[in-house]
This record gives sequence, structure tokens and C-alpha cells, in this order.
Amino acid sequence: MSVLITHKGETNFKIDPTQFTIWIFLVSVVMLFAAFTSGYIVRKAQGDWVNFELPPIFMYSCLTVVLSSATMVAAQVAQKRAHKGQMQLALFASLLIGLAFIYMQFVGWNELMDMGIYFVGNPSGSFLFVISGLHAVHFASGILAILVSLLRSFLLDKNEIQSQKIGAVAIYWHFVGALWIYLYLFLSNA
Amino acid sequence: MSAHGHSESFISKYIFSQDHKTIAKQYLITGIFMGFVGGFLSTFFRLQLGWDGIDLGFLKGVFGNYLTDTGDAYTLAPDKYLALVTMHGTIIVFFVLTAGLSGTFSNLLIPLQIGARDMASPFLNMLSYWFFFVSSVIMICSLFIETGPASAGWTVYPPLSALPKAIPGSGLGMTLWLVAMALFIASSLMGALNYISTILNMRTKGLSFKKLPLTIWSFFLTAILGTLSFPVLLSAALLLIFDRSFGTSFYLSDIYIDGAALTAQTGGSPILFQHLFWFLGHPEVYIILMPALGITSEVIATNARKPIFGYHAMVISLLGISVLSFIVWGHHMFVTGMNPFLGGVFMIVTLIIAIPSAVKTFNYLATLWRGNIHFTNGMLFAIGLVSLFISGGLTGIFLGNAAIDIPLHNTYFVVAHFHIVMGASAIFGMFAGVYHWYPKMFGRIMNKKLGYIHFWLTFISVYCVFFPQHFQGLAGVPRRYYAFTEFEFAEVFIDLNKFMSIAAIIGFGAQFVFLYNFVTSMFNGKKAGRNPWKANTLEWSVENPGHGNWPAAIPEVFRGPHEYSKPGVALDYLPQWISDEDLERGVDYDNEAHDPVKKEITVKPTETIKEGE
Repeated sequence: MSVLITHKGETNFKIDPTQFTIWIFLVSVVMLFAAFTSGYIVRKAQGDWVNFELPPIFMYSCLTVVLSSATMVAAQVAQKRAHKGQMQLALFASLLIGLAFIYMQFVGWNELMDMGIYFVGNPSGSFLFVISGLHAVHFASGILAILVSLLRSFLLDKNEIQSQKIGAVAIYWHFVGALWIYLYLFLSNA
Repeated sequence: MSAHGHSESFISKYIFSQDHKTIAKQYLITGIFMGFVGGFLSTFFRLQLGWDGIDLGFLKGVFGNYLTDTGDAYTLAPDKYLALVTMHGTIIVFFVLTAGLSGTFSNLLIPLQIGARDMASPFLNMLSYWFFFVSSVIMICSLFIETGPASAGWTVYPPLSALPKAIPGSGLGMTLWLVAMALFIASSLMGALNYISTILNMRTKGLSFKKLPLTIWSFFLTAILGTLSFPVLLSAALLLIFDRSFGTSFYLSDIYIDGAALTAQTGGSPILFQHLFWFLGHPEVYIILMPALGITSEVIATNARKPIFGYHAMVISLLGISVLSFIVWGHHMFVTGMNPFLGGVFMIVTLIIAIPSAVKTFNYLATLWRGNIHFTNGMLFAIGLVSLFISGGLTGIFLGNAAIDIPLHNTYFVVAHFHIVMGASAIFGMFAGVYHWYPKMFGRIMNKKLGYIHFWLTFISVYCVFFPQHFQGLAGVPRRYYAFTEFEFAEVFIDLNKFMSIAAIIGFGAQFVFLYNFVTSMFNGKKAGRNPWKANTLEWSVENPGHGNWPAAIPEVFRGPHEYSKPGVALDYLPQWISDEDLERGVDYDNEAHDPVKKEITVKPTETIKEGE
């Protein structure tokens, strides 16, 4: 059931309404992580803080997010040119690289635990697990969104593919990628 | 059947409705219900404060686990006193004054006043209400669990909130509080996203930001504050959940009682929670207050039959308050041992808020000055807000000053200040809105006489309850105490406490007058025409709007919202949808039949944006 309310031409949305809402949503996600990272700084300044080196795998996971953003851009270009197959391939690649990212995060967490850094213990470790874990949750929701877009694209024929809204998914995907790069730089330097 | 001819079932029309007006009513009715619960809880503990050890046996049936049997009486259990103040604060701050006030009027007025057929995402809007509803149900349920609801105060400071075995309310009650608040935050965010998106993108032709009603300005800025600050509360709550349930040490430190370690945690900082909490907590004050101020601006201008004095100054002061609200949270924490330099910075920025606030009060008074004042019920409550805003604002200048705040911290002076400036003011703004826009919600006008009774009883009792608390506070009487009969210095206030409790009971009783009026007016109220207050904004251009609001084309906007008593215009109002050409042609917009706003479907909607397309 759809509710038909707003007539086209009666609004002055300059960008797609879903994309617009996503942008505002991202502002609130920024605030969430800003709260965690500033909490990190405040807590660290109070002492009783165990310093440790981040496992290098977290740096490699930064590279995967860059790569997956590139494949996402490729998907959008293919969509613009109405190359359905190429678009699906690029979406699938983003999905796979995204899953690889999550796997790498798990490996990183395991390495941390091997180093004796646990979720429960000194707040430096707790913060790391909370921040990277919550980021992974956001990232996983991005993977889900790509999966939905990919499955939907199979229902559309070649001419309809250009009207599929993958723009909002792409914005979110680039955002969660960039967020991890920020968080990595923050956690390895702060 | 809506104006656009799509049929709706009972469930899609009244329950899971996506019509912003129905959602507004859902918010309002839930808000009123929660208001009665919150008000009842305060009356409940005021009985104890007025008459220490009073027999409350008559409440045994429902609130049995709040009472202890002393042999000859059922008295309020001391730990349940804390539960009552906590839940009173939580319910009124979040469920009544955030969701009930902002949810109701943002939903009702944003599309109607900006000339949109509905919100940017009606579906998200519906979801926002139902998250709020479930959150309310969980919060109410937590009142009735065996160990009692959360009891750490509405600010839920750790360790009382973080250590499940600290006090009875720290257990399941606190867990339910956190679950309810998580849903509440999600609901607020969904609402705010929608409000911002709708206001920025869906204004009708001609409605620039300079012509926006002040209600919309206030809802817009409130939504921005919510988007920026609620995620921070979410972060605070998440870390609290981890401390409670998983044993992390964000807030909890090593606590020893009788030499035995109570916790496994080490090195946590409860101050960190206060920073995160008040980063939301202070903007939250303005999330509550700004919609009330916006409503007051419209109600006062309409009923004084004058343009609001200094429209631009009103907008700039709202903007100023919004920006400042994010950099003053430290004034809640002057006694946490913060660096005095930092305290000084927080003090200065806090005191600067007096400037935009004073601009607003001055402009309200200047609008009333020599106006042709119509004392409608809505107008009385709007003027009441101005009175309370001045009285409560003045004590804000005391408390913003660290040197005065430190001795007054956690005394009844603080209780008096925030109840007047934020609690009662915002409630008055909400009542002003309900009386003023009731005709748009239900097509009828609320009974004026009952409205007067409601207003005067509420207004007088609010002052009688909260004004004396300043003196208690100055004498050092601390808040959140179960009884003061044991302290010699507080004995002088025993009779005053009785007086305040009696006033509180009368004030709570007066709300039943409102409830009766609210319910019976739906059926028996005087039928309202399309524009009963002869107001200018777009919502008054349409009678009993169906889903989609305007049956024909959306009216265009030609002028600002406050062109009342304009020189050279015959009538004392000039609606936004009347163009200069209409005016030259001598259109009689007072007569609905001649109004240029079309009532019949003249254009068939060809294309529509559908959900999820």
C-alpha cells in the first residue's frame, strides 16, 4: 500500500528526498562517533590508561574501504550508462570487499585479545572495542543495503535500471568507509 | 476517504496512520496521558513531602509496592520516593515536553503551515510515533515491577545507574529505563530527520525563510538540536549498558563498602557520564522550550492583532539560543571539580544566553503593548508562558554564575528555577498550542469558561508550588530528600511544605478540568469555522483538512505571517495566501465563499511520489 500525497512539482527537492534524509541521518551518526571519540579523550586525560599499538590489520582494512568505495563508484557509473551487468558486478564486488572488511576487523579483534586487550578491562581496550564494534555494525548495515540493491536490480530490466535509487546506498557506503579511516587515524594517534 | 480518493481502512486511518495530522493527535493524546501519569507521580510524592509519614493506604491497590506497612499506616517507602521523583522527571521531560509537545505541534503544523501535503516521509513519521508509543509502554510498565522503576534521578548518574545492586531501582527498573530511552532516542531522531527534510524542501511557492512562521523556525531549530544531541545521549546510554551488563569500566570505578570491593571495575569516571549526558541535557532544555516559544509567538501575534515585534530579532535570538545551547553544558557540573578557568568559560557563555532570552521576552511584551488583545484561552496560556519565562529566567542568572551555583547546587532553588523556566513554561506553551489549534485538529473550539478556570487554577498553583522553593533553596534545603522533619534548620519550612503540597494537589486537580474540556469539546464544542481566530498562516486556509491537506492546489504565499492590523487594509488581518492583486480586486477573504483558496478539486493529480519509489 502506498500513500499518494505529494504531487511532483509541488516540492522543491533539489536532490532526491531519500538521499537528503540520509545526509541528515549521517550528521547524527557523526555526532554519535564524535561523542565516543571525545569521551575517549576525556577518559584518557584522567590517567589509568593502558597504551598499546593497534594491530596492522586495521590499517589494511582502511585500504579495503577505499577499494570498496571505488567499486561503488564504478557501480554508479555503470548505472548511468545503463550497463546492468556491469552495475551488478560492481555492486557484488563492493559487497564482497565489505565482507572482507568485516572479516579483517574480526581478525584484528582476535589479535588484540591475544595481546591481552579485552573488551572488559582497562577503558582503553573497552573504548577500542566499542568504537570499532559499533562502526562494524554501521558497516554491516551498509552491506545489507548493497545486498538489497543488488537483489532488486535483478527485478528490473535494462531500461528501468537507471531509475533505481542506489545513490543513497552509495552515500552511506562512502560515509562508513571514510568513518573507519577517521576512526583508525584517531585510535592510532590519539 | 481522503481528498485524493484513496480509501483507507480503520487501521491505516487511525492506528498505523501516515497522515501527519493523525500522527499529531496520536502524539498529543499519548502526551496528555503521560502528562497525567507524570503529574500524578509528583502529587504522590508531594503528599509525603507535605505530611511526613501520611497514610497512603488508598493507593495500596495499584501502588502497593511503593508503600510500607508501619502497623498503623501505609507510608511511602523512602527508596520509592526516589523512584517517584526519577520517573516524574523522566516522563515529563522526555515523554510529555519533548515528544508530547514537539511531536504534536511539529507534526500538525509543519506541513500545514509550510504548504505541504504531508511530511517528506510519512512512513518514517508513523514509525517515529510507534517507537515513541512502545517506549512509553515500557516506561509505564517499569512503574509496576517488584523492585520499582529507575531511581537514580532523571539524569541517571552512575554509580546508582551503573551498579545493578546499588539500590532496588538500579536493577530491572534501570534496564527498562535504558531500553525505553533507546527507543525514545530512535523515535526522536526519525521525527527530527523528517521535520528538517520537510521544512527545507517542501515549502510552498513564495514561502521563503523570511516569511516562515516563528513556529516553523522553532520546530526547525529544535529538530536540528535533536539531531545533534540525541546521538550523544545514545552513546552515553550504550556505555552505561556495557558497564551494567558486561563489566566494562567507563563510568564505574572501584567501590568499597565496609572494606569489601563492591565492583570488579577500576578507574571508571562518573564525570565522563555527566559530560556526555549534559551535552544532550542542556540542548534538551531548549528542545523542550523552543517549540513552546514558537507557539507563543504565533498565538500572541494573532491574539494581539499585531505583527510580532522584531520578527528578525526573534529568529536571530532562536538561532543564538540554539548555538549557545551546545557550549554551556558545563554549568550543570560546576561542582565536579572542573578547572576554574573552564568553569569561567561555561559561566560566561551561560550568562550570554540571557541576551537572546531577554530579546524574546522584550519582543513578546512589545507585541502586547497597545495591541487589540483578545483574551482567548490560548492567549492566556501564552501570556502565562511569558510570565513564567521571566520569573524562571531571572533565577537562571543566579545559577549560571558559578560562585552562586556552588552553594545552591542540588538545593530547592534549582528545583524552583527549572520547574518555572522550563517545566511550567513549556507546559503553558503546550496548553496555548492545544487551545489555539484545537479547531484545526477537531473542528471545534474548546469551552472558553472551562479554559479560564483551567488557566487561573494552573497559573496560581504553579507559582504557589514553585516560588516558595526559592526560599527553601536559599536556606540550603537539599532536593531529593524523603523528609525534612529530622533537620532542625528545615523545620521552619514544614508548614510551607504543606502549603506547596496543597497547591500541587489543586494544580493537578485543575488538569482534570482541561481533560474534561478536551474530551467533551470534541463532541459538544462550538463548531469552528475555517479560521476562527482570523489568523494569517496557511493552516487556516483550509477547513477540516483531509489526508493531503488541500483538496485543490496548494496555496501560494505572498507575504509574511504577521500582517495584522496593516494600515490601509480594511480587515485587521491579511493572510499569507492573499496576493496584492487579490487585495486590489477587493477580495473579501473574511467570507469563505469569496476566498481565493480553492475548495474543489480543479486539477487532477497526475503524477505522485509513492512511498519507497
